[in-house]
Amino acid sequence: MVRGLLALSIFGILVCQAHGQAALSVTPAYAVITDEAPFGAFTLHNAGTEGVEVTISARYGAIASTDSTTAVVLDEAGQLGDLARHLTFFPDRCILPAGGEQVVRYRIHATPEGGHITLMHFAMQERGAIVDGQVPAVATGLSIVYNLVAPLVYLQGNGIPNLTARVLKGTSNALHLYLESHSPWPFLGGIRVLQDGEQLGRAEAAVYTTRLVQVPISLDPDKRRIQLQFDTAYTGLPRSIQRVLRVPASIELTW
Amino acid sequence: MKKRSLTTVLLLFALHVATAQVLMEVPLLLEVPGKEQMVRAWYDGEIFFVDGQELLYALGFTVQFQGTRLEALDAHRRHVFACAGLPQDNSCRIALRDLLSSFGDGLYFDRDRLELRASSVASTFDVRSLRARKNTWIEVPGPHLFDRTRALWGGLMASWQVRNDAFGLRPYVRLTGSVLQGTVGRDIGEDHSWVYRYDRPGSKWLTQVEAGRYSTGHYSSGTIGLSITNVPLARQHLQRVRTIQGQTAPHALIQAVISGEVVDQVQADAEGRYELQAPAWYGTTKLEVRMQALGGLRPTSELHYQLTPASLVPPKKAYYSAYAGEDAYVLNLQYGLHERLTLRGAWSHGQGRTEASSGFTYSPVTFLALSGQLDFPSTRWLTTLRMWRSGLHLNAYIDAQHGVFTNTNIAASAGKGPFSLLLRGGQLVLTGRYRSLILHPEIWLHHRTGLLMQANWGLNRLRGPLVQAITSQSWRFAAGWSFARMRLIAYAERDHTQQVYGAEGLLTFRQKSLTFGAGWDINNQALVASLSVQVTSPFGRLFAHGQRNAHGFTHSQQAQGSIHLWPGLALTPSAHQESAAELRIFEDLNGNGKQDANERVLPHIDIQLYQGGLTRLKTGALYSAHLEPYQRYQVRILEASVRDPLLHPATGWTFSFTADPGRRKVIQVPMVQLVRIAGQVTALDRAPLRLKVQLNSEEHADVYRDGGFALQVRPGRYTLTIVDVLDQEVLAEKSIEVSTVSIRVTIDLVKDRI
Repeated sequence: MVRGLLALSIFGILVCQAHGQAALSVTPAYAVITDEAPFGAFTLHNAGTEGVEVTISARYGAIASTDSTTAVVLDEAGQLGDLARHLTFFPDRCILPAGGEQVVRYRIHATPEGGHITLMHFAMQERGAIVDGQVPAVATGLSIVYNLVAPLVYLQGNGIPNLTARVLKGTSNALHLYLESHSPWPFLGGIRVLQDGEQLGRAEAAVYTTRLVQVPISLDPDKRRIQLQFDTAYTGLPRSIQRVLRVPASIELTW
Repeated sequence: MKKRSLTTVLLLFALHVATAQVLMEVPLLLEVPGKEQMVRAWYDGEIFFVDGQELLYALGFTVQFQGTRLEALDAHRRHVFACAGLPQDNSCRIALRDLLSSFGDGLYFDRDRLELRASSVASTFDVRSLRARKNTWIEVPGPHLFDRTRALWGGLMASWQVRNDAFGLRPYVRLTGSVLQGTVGRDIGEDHSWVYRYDRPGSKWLTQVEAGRYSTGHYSSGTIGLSITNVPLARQHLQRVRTIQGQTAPHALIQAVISGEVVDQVQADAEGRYELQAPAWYGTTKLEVRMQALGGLRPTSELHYQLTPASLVPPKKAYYSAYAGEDAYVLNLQYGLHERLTLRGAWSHGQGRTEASSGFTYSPVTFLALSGQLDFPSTRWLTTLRMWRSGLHLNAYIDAQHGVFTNTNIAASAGKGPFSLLLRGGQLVLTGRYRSLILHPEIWLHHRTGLLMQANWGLNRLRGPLVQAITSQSWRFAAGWSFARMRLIAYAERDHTQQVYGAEGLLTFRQKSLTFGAGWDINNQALVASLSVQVTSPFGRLFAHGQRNAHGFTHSQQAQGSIHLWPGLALTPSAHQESAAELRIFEDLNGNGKQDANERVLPHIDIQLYQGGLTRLKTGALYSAHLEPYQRYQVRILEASVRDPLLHPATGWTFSFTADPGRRKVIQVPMVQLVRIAGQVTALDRAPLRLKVQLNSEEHADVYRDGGFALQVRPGRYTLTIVDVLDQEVLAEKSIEVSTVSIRVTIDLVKDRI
């Protein structure tokens, strides 16, 4: 009976809960910085109609792939260093009213040479209205948390990424590649697929540890030798950073 | 299983019945344009009721009772709503749905958030009267931290100028000092004039006193005199409230922004229509209308300039200015009869003559001003008409004496797309009843591709009793191309002395500009050429001009600049006394609020200065010149440019300052390291969103859903107080000591209860 009442009250509260529209955006969606300018900022914007609480944290991890999926992986980022230990940011939580904006500033302290990564985690909860008589346990407990993750990469010095690749499958209009990084330098840029000197297609990718890349191709390649060439043109990456990034050696693949 | 299901259904039914019979009081947040307030409401599980008297009054209506019957009347005393009240407590509970059906789209009830929002574009009830109740528009809002600076000895600036032309080499120096709580200016030239000025910007009856030996100007030359006035030194009076209507994306958020502050905000309706209201002060008000479509798209903005003729005086205000000197006395009076009508009178006596005048300025619509003035004893009448609309500007002057028109002058310009049309003309009556007619129309094409074309024609006709009409004509045709840094034009022109075919151009490069021209004069068979160079450096500006035509070669050179002698030594290229501000944003290491020798300016921090331009000095400070004296300017420090996340400006991210007249104001903005306090409220007996944390009863922070709160403070002792925002009850208090490292604080509502 007691359990029934409890279930009923929770059901009732769930029905009554306010779910306004909160829409948080984080810009930039990722950031790459170097020891020349070891600081920066993310801007949070609530484009929704309801206020939100945002909790910000930094966790070591990367966006990585298996043979079939790509996901956020925590506490592991291959040979990339842990940037969270060397990072100061402010604020670590904030309230954004509808239409509000908040700048989250960060700065990197001394790090060893190599690439380092952290995932900036923005956890958003609707702020909701002040309701008289609301039970504290309910007020604190019942809410949906929306998560946004923005990778923050820091390069101390510069080095050449070391990538290996294999073809997972090929169709008439796409080539599915699996890339692995074997150095402390991440790769961000374009991957061009060539056969007999002719470019079949190009795709952009960020390879921190492992990454599935689907390259759209214009011609159906013969199932024989192809070459992967790399460049540093990556959407949203400032030119000053593109100039610093090094290009990995081209890869010959037998398919 | 069946038994449990049955129990659940029964309980649901019982709960429904029970709640339908209970009238629970709930706080309802009413949002109307310009204000928010709580109104009492009740909920019986199905229907919401509100206190009619409280709500209808809050919506701007006059509420009255006829017996127990409540009536709401609008501004025109028309019945809007009526309901039967309760005799016992003389109140009236109205079912909210009845009210909503009465007001249509004007009211929106969000039952989940318990909010009742009045649309700012509603026509059902009088939104404007609500706005009028809270007419708190001020010129530059935000904390005003840097007021007008006064000093016994506050600085000295020397403006210098050297000019060489056909009249010879002429130097000129003007010293300006901020002394004796005022300013003093001394010209070291031919007549050694000086003026001491003391201002009181906040005063009603005496805003400025001036005394000294005047060289040239309104009154006399080389004489000792004193002048006083109460004309405001900066704009401060609201002239009108302007309604701006427009159309944009449906449900877009629209903001009216003045000096960086949002003065009105509305949401467009389903068709995208909106109506904003913005203040217009006496003078020019720059208004930015920002539009943000829903869905996170980038906001767009457009600028509006709201002009009020400078000669208009606010209603029921009287301004005077008076001068008494060795050889002249002058009194000017202005009185605002109406917000659109100002009366004016003047009296002067000097050199054995007494003159007087009276007149008016009338602005029947916001884009038109008509002025008239009658002088005594000459009975000369002067009329001025000014009109300005988007793309159209007109100035007309008409003089009359003894009932006969003497001089007429018209200057008009109109622009549409790439075309501009200008017209100058008039009729002058010269001595001996000679009349001169001048007509000068001109058309310009300035296409966005860079194409430039100009055509003008001029007519000058002179008639008189002893000569027949003499007519001379002039014309000019030009075509060329405008590039980013260069403009090249080929031209042909003719006037009464020459007929020239040639080319001219303008070249700009950073702080340098060069104009050049060369052509052939067919009439005189001579080369016509000109060259002008302007170079601006941080410490001075140089002009040089040379011209050759059929009459020979002429040239002139001029150098100018200013030297700020104290405090510190600084050079600027401007040769006149100007109001400027230098913002030094520095890291305040010892926290004393002043810049010490080891505290350097942080050169990477950017700011936004509303209504002012900025340049970065070599010291890293930011410099803004050409400010309007006594005007308040708002500054916003751009947070993203601050590299250290823990550095915060002690002034706050926005603040405002008053520009000092005729001097460079140095503003020191200390950046301080703040210490983070991560807090947690425990033993909660109510929803955490109701709570706020007060810091030493001044600042406050919100409490998050999990009971946490965050503060950033400077080292020191603080008292944290937990307050319930709904019933304003102080719940708990805790004292903390903050050093230079972050701390965690737990406030237990039971243990720390007051």
